[in-house]
Amino acid sequence: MKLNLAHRSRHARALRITGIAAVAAVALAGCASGTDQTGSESAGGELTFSNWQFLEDGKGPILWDAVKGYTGPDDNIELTKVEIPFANYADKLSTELGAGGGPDVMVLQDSQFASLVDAGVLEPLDDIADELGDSLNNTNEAGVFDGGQYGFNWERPTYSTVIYNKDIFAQLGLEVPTTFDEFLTTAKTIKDQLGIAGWAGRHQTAELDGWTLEMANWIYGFGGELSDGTTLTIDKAENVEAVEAFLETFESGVAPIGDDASTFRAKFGQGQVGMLFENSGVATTITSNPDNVVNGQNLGAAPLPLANPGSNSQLIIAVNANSKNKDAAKDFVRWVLGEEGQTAIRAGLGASAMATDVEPDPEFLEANPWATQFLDAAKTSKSTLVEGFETESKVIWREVLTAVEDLRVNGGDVKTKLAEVQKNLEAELG
Amino acid sequence: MATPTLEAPPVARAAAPKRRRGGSGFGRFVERNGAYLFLFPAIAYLAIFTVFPLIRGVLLSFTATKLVNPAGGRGVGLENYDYLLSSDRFWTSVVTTLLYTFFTVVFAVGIGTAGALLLNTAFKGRSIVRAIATIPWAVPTVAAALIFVWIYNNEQGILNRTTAALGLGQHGWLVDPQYGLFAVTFATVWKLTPLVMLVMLSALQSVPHELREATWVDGATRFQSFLAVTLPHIMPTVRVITLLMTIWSIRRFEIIFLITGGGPLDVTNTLVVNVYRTAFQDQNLGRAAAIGALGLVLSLLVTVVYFVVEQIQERQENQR
Repeated sequence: MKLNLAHRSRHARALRITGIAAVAAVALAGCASGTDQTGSESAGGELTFSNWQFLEDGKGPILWDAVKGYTGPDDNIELTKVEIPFANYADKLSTELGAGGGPDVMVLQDSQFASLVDAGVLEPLDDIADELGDSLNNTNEAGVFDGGQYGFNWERPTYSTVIYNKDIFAQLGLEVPTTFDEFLTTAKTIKDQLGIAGWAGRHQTAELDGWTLEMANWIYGFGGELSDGTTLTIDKAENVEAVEAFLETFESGVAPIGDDASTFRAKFGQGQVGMLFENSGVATTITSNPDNVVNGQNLGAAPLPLANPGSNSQLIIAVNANSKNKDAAKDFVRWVLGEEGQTAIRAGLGASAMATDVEPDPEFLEANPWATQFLDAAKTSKSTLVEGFETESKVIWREVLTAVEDLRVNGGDVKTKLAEVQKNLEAELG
Repeated sequence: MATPTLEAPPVARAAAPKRRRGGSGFGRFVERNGAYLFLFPAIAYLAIFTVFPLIRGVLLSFTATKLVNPAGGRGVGLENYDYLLSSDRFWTSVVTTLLYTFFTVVFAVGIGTAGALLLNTAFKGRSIVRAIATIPWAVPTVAAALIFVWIYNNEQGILNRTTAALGLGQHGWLVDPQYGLFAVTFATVWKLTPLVMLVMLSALQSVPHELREATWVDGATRFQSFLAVTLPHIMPTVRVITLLMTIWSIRRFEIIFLITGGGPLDVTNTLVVNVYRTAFQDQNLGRAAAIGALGLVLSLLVTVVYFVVEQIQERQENQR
């Protein structure tokens, strides 16, 4: 009996010790976070700016050089770059922002932007929009969500363009295609005559984000869309036609199967692919690589050989709502959108459309005559966000692309398959 | 003659120094609770890094929570589980996980054990061969995945060039669902086999040589000697490495994701890849947590089966 009592009191002591230790641990953790919060309250200090482009060859250093001199109105801000590779940029940022952290200012893709605004982690920037007014062009509408301005156009690299190797076209006496039939015939000629790919494009769900941008080119190019703003329109006739044309292109053997974007872009740069549907950023990268046979002079660019304009990637600059240095962050955005900022970053963004109509450097345009096509195409190209379903865009595109991949591999009726996707998505999204 | 006992003789007990009563309060506290204090770091570590995340994950699986708003989820009861259990994609994912695990374990353990037996024999240049054989294990997973992506490339890949030269045609190793699972399994087996080989080699080196020699003296062939002496000796190691390989394969992510990203057409979309895609691509943390919880059940089932089999065998051996 006595022994039992001793045991019980020992257990009680053990519990007390564990309890005290746990309270101490929680208190210590609390102290740590408290220190962090108070340490960055001042208006000056460090301002973190996140952009995966800082890691891109050629472009990255130019962009960083363009912004790193920003020190704020009181000359007490030190800009620090946050470099995250593109492959896990969205995941990392969403995780950080969701947890109340993340950089002060960031460049985002529009697909992620909508979800972040919806979650309330981005700072409203209507005051900046009002202040800058007419100096901003209509590409900044991409930063409007639910009636509020939460971001501005950092870069709009449009995909609504076919780039081609002028030397190959001259060698084979080819004309730039303007319709889908002409495009397929041209690609077949290149394949048959030279034994290289006539055209290349993404076609695997392993590259979901990139393929979304490229497939949107086909869908929009054929006059299709994935919603009418209120309901999904996955199986509408234009979408079916677009998917059939895409599949026909791969079935014809003109496009390499299995090549990812980095592979077929490298091949294009080496003169091993005749045409690509590409964005202005990639065109800039390809032509600025001295090891490539394709350069600013022999790269051709023309509107998509489809009846309607295609898609664009949309990069948005936004401010973290949880930033401890919000005023400085907003001032930095204001600076980026001003004349000084726009002129500075224009050098790194080549032929992409920007927040204002700042012209590319005349020397750049002279060395890269293809660039003007992208500037024109940016005015009419469309976002890949599914209207009315912006925050669900990724899920919708994934289902559509999985169906297209299935059709490419296993065949089947396009209309039936897309109707199936429509039904499944309606059941899931309501 | 007195029977020897493990208990200490009474004299020795009497000779032990008496515990000091009194002394400093802290000293007494440490003396009385020392065991708990020493246990505390381990318990705290497990509680913070294992138990808490596990409980949090399971609780999360009963909510509709978005990645960008992890604190703003709302309770949905069993809705996530209901959705998953009636979803073809989830069940395909389970089957894929089981197939991938089965083939990876069978081939890695089989080839690894065979390789260890080979490397355990004496031959010229054995040390060099042993060193070379471990290279795949030393190669970083990301590098290994990129190498295999190139090997499997449709046009430039060495595998297709070889099959074409042999008249076997070219295949879409990473784009044809028929070959996707094979492609990632082969890469995984290539990477893991050296580990199994090293573990088995160390087990083989602990087999007493005299026992084998005794069987040879009794006229046993090398194969009979292997069955009678070597195999029973290394079986516990085989069982443990099989269990570990199975659990690791169920939760393996990087090599699969880097080679196929779960494709083509979801044929390599294992449970863990599915968790990633659901959490980060669909930004649905609640549903991803539910997939994780169901994956945990699968891992636990494997462990339970292992221990049940282990106990049955132990009982059978004791009865012999």
